Amino acid sequence: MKRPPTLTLVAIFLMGFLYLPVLLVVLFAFNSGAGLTWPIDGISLRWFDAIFNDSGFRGAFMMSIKAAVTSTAIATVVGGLGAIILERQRRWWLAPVAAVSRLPIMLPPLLIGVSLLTTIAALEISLSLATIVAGHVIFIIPYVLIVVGARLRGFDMQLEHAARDLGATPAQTLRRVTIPVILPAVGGAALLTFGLSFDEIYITNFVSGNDPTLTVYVLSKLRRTVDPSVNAVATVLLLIPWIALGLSALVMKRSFGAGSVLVSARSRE
Amino acid sequence: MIQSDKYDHEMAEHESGGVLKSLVEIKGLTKQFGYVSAIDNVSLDIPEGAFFSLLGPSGCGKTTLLRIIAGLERPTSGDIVLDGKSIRGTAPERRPFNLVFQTYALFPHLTVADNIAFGPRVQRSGRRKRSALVEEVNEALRLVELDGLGDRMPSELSGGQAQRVALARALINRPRLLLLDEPMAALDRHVRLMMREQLLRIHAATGTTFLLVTHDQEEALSMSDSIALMRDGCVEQLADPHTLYQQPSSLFAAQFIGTGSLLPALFKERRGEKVVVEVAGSVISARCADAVAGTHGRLLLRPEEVSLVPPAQGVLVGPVRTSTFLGHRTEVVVGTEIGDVRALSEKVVKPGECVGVSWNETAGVALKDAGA
Repeated sequence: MKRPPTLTLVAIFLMGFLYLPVLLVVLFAFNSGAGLTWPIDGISLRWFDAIFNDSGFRGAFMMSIKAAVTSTAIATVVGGLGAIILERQRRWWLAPVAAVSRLPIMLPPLLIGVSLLTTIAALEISLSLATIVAGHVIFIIPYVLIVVGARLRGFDMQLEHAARDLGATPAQTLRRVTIPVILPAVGGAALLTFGLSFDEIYITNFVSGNDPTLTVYVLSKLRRTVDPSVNAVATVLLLIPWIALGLSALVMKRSFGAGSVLVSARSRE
Repeated sequence: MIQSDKYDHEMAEHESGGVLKSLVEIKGLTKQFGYVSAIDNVSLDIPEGAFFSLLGPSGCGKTTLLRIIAGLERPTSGDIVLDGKSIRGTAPERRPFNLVFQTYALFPHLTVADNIAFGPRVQRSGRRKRSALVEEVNEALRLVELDGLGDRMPSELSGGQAQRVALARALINRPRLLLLDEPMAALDRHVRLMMREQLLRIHAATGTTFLLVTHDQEEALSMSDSIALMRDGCVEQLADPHTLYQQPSSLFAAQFIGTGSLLPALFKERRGEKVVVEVAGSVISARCADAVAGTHGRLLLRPEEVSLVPPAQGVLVGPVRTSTFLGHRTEVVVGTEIGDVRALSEKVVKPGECVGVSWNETAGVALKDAGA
């Protein structure tokens, strides 16, 4: 079939619109000059040098990592077990619970941030890593519920029946069959939530104290001047999910023998 | 009945005894889904050591019955008895039965060996030696003729291999009763025939009681000691394969099992086990199934009971419609005035040739019409 040329043009335009700014940011990160005008003056690593020698950047970067790792760990375990309960138990009150626990996705993050700050202030808790993690967990648990829940709905119940038939108690079935089989989906959910937490700014802006995360740090820096070093920060941010994906692919390959998260997700049905 | 234990035991040891101790008794079992009865007051005895089949069209309740026996579904009413004790409320993991699923349900994250070792691992944790379990798994693999495939993943197996892994995974637990849910439905025809032989070999080698669920009458006839033919949640007929084929108790059984001709007939008079039948003007005798004297019904004739004779000697006469050479015999369909008659012939006849058909007095089975 012959494709109409307009469709191809629209596709090219959209791809360009999507990725050219990203490409520009990466290019400007390697600019040896301080200006944000084309063409760039030359190639240099001075902005990377600048950010890695900036203790503010290093502190914020570590804060982001800590917040993302902690909230991902909590959200994956709580959300994963929650998804199993919501999908498998049959109680009249579970449907409303499921609806309410997915609700934060539809709430504006700004609202979550403001309401959290109000609550935290009312309880006289000081802003710290803990408050950031609390905010992130609220916001990312629904994603875990949705991803793991979808996997559980596609789960072949015969596998659990087979386990029970072979002598496994419900607890053994969960530990030896259900969890190992859905693990790739849980890993995918963890990656997704890590990325969401790492990038989060609306809620974090309200609930972070004197030690900001990377996103909040960049925002506050941009508020004062347009500093070319943010291009280098953005480039680093761009690499984080790639590194996370690569690492998880390695882990999955080690523990399951075949395929990465992506491959397992494709082949599991 | 007090001394029946000893008696039954002796009978069980006597292999060709015919009367065997029952392993599982199903008593008045009913399963309702909403207003629909998937199983309607079914009672069955499954004899110890038997190869028992539940046969029926899809939707007849045979798989539901199997899942209730396995403990994966709860019956609405009725009871299942094992060794004189009710196991109605017993969890599936505590029943000494194992199920081979239609889709095999192999654990995709475990190797073949780990799949097979699953049962022993969850049941007898810690106490046994690793080497003993490895030996047990290898033995199970040898039993299903899959030696050396223990390190494969389930995704790397063919359908027939996966089926045999599922079988080994069930048999390693030494179940009192092995439940097979349409185990060969998903296999190619030649693999299916091989699996039939394998199952019979394993049944003989292990002495385990087998309960097979199938919609394939040929499979049930060729493998089982007893067959419960099911229809709409009820047992239509319970018999050994020979009886089921030669003496179907109803039109449904006659149509579901084997091939044959069903001729319109008038039942005149009942004489013990026999009935006097009028077929196309000829008055003959037939074996009575559920025929009622004074009504119209059907006369079943199995093809191998019908012989081709010169037109003058035939009960019915007509031209040969089709003649199919089967190798050992020729299947002939004769178009008579009251319908097609199927026969197996030793000699080859040509389509169009006029022949007579005839059969032994006792060959026909008189059946009530459906709905009559």
